[in-house]
Amino acid sequence: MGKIEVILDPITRIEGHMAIHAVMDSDSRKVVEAHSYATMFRGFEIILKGRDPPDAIFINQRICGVCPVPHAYAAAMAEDMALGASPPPLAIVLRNLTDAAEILYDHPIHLFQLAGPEYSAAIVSKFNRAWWEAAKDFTCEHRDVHGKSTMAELMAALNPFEGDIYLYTLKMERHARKLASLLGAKHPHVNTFVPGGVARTWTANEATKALSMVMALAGFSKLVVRVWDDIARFLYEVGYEWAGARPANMIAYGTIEDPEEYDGKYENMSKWGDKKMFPPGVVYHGELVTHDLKEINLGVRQFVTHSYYEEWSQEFDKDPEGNPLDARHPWNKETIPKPQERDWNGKYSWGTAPRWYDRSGRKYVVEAGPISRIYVSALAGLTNFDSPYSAIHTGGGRVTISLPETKSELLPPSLWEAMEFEWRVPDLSYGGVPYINTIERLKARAYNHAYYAASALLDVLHMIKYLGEGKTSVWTEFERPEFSMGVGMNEAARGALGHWIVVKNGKIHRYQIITPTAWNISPMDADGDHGPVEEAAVDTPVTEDHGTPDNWVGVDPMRVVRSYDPCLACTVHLYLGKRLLRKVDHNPIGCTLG
Amino acid sequence: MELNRRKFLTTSLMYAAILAMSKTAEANATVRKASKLVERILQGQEQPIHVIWIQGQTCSGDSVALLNAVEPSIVDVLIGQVKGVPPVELNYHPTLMAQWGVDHLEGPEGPTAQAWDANRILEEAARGAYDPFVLIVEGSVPTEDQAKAAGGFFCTVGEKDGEEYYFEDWLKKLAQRAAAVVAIGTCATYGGIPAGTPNPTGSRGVYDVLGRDWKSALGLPVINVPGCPAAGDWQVKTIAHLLLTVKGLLPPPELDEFNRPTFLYGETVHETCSRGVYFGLGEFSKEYGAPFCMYALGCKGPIVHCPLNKTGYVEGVGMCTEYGSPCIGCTEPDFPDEPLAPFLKELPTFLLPPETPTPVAAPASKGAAVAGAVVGAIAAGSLVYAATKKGSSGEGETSE
Repeated sequence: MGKIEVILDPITRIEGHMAIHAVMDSDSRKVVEAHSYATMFRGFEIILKGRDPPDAIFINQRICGVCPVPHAYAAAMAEDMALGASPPPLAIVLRNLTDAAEILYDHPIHLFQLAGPEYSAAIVSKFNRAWWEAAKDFTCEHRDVHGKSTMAELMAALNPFEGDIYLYTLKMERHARKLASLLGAKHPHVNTFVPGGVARTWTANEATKALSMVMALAGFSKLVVRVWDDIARFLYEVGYEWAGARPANMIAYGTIEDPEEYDGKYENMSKWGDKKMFPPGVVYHGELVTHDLKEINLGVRQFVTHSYYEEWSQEFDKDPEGNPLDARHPWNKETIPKPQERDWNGKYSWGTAPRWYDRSGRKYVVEAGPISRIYVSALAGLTNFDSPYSAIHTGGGRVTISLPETKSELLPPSLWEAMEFEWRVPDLSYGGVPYINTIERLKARAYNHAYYAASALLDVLHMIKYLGEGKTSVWTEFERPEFSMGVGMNEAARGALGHWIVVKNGKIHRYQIITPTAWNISPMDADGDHGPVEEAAVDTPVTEDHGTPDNWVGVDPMRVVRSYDPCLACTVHLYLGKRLLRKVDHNPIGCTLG
Repeated sequence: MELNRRKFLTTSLMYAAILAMSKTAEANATVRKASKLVERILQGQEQPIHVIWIQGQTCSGDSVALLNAVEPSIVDVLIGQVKGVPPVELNYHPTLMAQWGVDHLEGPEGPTAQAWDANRILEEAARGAYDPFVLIVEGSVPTEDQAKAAGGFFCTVGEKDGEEYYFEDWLKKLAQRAAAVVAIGTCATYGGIPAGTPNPTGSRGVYDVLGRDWKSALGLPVINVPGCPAAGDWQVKTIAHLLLTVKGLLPPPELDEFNRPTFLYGETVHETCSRGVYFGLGEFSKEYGAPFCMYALGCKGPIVHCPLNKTGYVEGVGMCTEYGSPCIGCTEPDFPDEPLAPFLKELPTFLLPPETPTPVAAPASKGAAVAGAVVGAIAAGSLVYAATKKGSSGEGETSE
């Protein structure tokens, strides 16, 4: 049969409008070509220009209804800096908890409702018959936690709208959004983040509610981790390790600020960056290149070589401290869209290509995500704490997470006892280069859930302490300066998220956002290097074995793309994404404004 | 599960009956109709009502919020769908459905691939295979003419043989057959953030695309459930009401001038806010976190219609102004522009509805100077903002 060329559009069960163009080889049973592109555009940064700076916090959350809080947090950090207001410690704790509450829903909705169905009996038994037979004989190691003896039983429990784990996780996700609503007034799109703190009246009454809710969610983490431990083991057993494989080259900005260290000041950024619960870092071939947040910020570049934009002229040559600022840094970037004929050798995409450069000028093509976060944390070894509720220890390529006894009416008794989890840098290498894959991206997402839960329990203790000490202030007054610059570097569920603002005459002069999905689905850069998703999809094995190739539905490229948890609404605030169709006469995605 | 599907329907029908009873003339007939319907449902004889949910320029926030619903939970409703049991089937929802789009460029798809193709469901719905269905729209609708002139598009969903389907075309095609069209969220209703000045993509709400005088197959206008996003319970309550309207059990919901059901959006945030009492007393928070009225911190509650302070956002938890965050007006057609923005700057007093109670002088012990100043300011037609500033420089006792 040879080459099977498919367009998978719409990609359902992700946030937003995305499509894949994939070519599969029915002889070698591999994905030989994959291109991802987005099919919707709104134009956020154009809408932001000239507005009152605090409004960016409210508007930017609306980029994404799945991951609004990290946008709010990143925007608030950019504005703490630009508008000169260091939040009081209780405000930082409340921001952290709101952010954690969101991740505690966002990771499971991906693992169980969005990507999960690809590993459910409904889809596996339909499209992967060999897997389904293997699943019936595969014994689950963690039956005592999730209650399923075989992989086939576990997969049945993941069936959309039928499986008990599918339904139970939906309920616990709602519980997490309820916690986010308690903290943030509503979720999606919390209403409480303001420059210099939070707009939330917070007393001991709210604190006790939050404690019991976080505790139940920490218990829920135990299920999330153990289900995906078993699925990951099964996927290795059926030989899926080459799906979505690419070298361990990653970026994380880190998240969850230290309430005693974070002051939102640019000059202290390296210091408070290191104190984040998830530290920042860049990893190349499995080694940590840096964990200096200021260096990471200054190393961010965007390319439009293959994108429908004009180059922009450099407005600033120095950062707020006088360090040299590159013309391609987001503080300088201006979005100047220019729709035009597609030219494979020239401009062919609305996607820009974010890349990271070290001080010596070396370029890194890096991916963002929960795998990047936990990988960096395991290598950096900067996070170590023990508390009466939880503990996290990192270093030497390991992360250990302790969660307490969690007796709650929301949890089955199998999740009550205290548990400890250990995540290790995956033992995968090809030609001496450590790599990561679809399985590890999914598994890391589950371990991130436990990491955030342990961190949230510590923040609850901080919150109680501040209330007890009478440190009840949640806001510091801000200014609307004539000129200033700010950056907010945070982590959305799906990875590193940066907001850059320039304020002039008290209004938004320029606002740039680089989302994790922008890093992940980026097109080629100036040197012709491809972005991570396309790199990962190519060479993925085709496991469909249900019929002739004309019946293939592309479940394997789908699994690879979904393992990145792509969020298109986030990415397409800026552009439309890559478009690679076979029809040369077909007009590229166009828009009059970017 | 808290409620199964049958209980949900029965509950909804009881709700219908209760509503009907308030209109005594039709009461007996409706109750008879309702009990017959319950009987048919319990005997498995009732034909399904289909639900097709499509997304345009959206962040998917309304879909996430839908999962917050507990009265009843959407899962409880959908469990019936998956078993293929009438009477409610959700046939298409981009964020929840198992299928995805499949288009083989080499030639015709095999039967499995064809059956799995999500686009087929919309094509069939447009041809009448899912009649009667309720069309739910999330996200705003861009003006594609602008994009086409530049050689492209703003929003497409799916493709066939390499040709994209424009979202706008799906909407118009499906609306022609729909028993009812519900726009959920501020983007689908009024354009929302994408339509924010300068509206780069020419975004509009559904009722501006179909026409404000447009009527569905059942003779209903577009029903708007705004909110950014609309709380899950508001969504499900409105949909449940319409399902009963489709069944002939309930009259269509009463709508305000912006097509919002008045049973949800009949009151302002200010009218339902417990902090409203401080407005009357002239006690205004001057810093976030303080427990008083947030008018001076930018709250737009007096001009915004939204039931959040009554319903809560998730299982009764989550209220903007009650919790201390200023209302930014996300249920209103003007969102995110003036006079709702700037969000953290005071609403000019001349925009206050005439029926807004004027602050009265508080007891002399606390806040009297501020209250007095506000009263004076309103009387003089100047801004409350200026008044509170003056007040704060005096005693500064009106907030923590």
